Amino acid sequence: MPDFENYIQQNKEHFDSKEVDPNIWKNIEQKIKPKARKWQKIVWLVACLSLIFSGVLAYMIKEKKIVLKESGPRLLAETPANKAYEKTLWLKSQQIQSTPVSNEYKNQLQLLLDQVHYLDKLYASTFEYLQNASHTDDMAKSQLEYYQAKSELLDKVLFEIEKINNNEKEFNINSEKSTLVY
Amino acid sequence: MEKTSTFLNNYQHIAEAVSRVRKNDQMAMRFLYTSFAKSMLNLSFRITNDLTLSEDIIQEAFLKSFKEIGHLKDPSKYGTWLKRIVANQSISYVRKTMKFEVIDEELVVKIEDVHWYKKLDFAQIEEAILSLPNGCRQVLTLYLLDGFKHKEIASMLNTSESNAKSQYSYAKKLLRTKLKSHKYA
Repeated sequence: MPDFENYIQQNKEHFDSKEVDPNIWKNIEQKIKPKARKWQKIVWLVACLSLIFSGVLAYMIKEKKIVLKESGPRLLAETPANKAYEKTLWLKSQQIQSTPVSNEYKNQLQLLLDQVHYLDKLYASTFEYLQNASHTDDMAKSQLEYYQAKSELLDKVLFEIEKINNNEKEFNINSEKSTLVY
Repeated sequence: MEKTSTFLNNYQHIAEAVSRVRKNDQMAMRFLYTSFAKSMLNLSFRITNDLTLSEDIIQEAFLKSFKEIGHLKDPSKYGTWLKRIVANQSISYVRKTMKFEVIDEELVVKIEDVHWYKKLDFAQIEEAILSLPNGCRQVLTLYLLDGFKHKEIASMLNTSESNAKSQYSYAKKLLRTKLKSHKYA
């Protein structure tokens, strides 16, 4: 009998036949997601309000420049999630740059593009502050929030471009078109 | 594949992951989960014989371990600590239905071939183990497959060490009887 016991013990792995359902980790992940700290919520609330304010201001003064530079906050960690966000943002940017828009409607888009600018700048300064203060965890959270906010803004830009172009199609407007400088 | 396996089994990495989990690092949590989920699920299943219940149990056990990881003195012992959490939670679910059978002292199994078990599939042996009655099955699997000592098993099952040993011996005989029966032979 000891031989039989040894045989089972030496082949333990063959008795782990049940496979793990991927949903178990998904459930765990949902429960361990860190909740944003109060001060972070305030920072992002202020950021959102500022974006709206700058948007309204830009609309009021009818700023005409349409130049948006990629501020490129650095990638904190090359995690699969971060890489996926980077790729998504890059694809959206490419889509925006490759879609022609009538010059006369670019002012409408500028409001949103200014918000993207502002978000990039705000994130860059927040990132610098957190880096100097060695708040690695907070940097990761801020980075995620930044990705989400930027992704939403780029979606809005794409939505507006589509709306403008659809309207043009409907009314057969043949105006001069060019792509956005992004 | 080999690299991953070496990595997962490396205690230094487990210890490192534990210290990162203490700082609420989700990637480290994922690493620990990936390293131990399968063995914990199977440990629990052998106790409960109910896969859905065992899935719930390991989910709760991992959450509990992440929450209470500060209590773990030696980070490299995370696996042993987690195993105890899973075993205890699994036992708590089946305790009500678990009873130790009266041991049949007359149960004698004739040995004809010393290596008789090598003719069997592992799946057949596993099936026979899972068909053992509640009580002696848990004792057998906790000792033979999950590496607990009789003293620890006795403590987890609220019984004496001598009863744990007797139940283990009885489970082995029953297992052998089942495996030698026409169903598996």
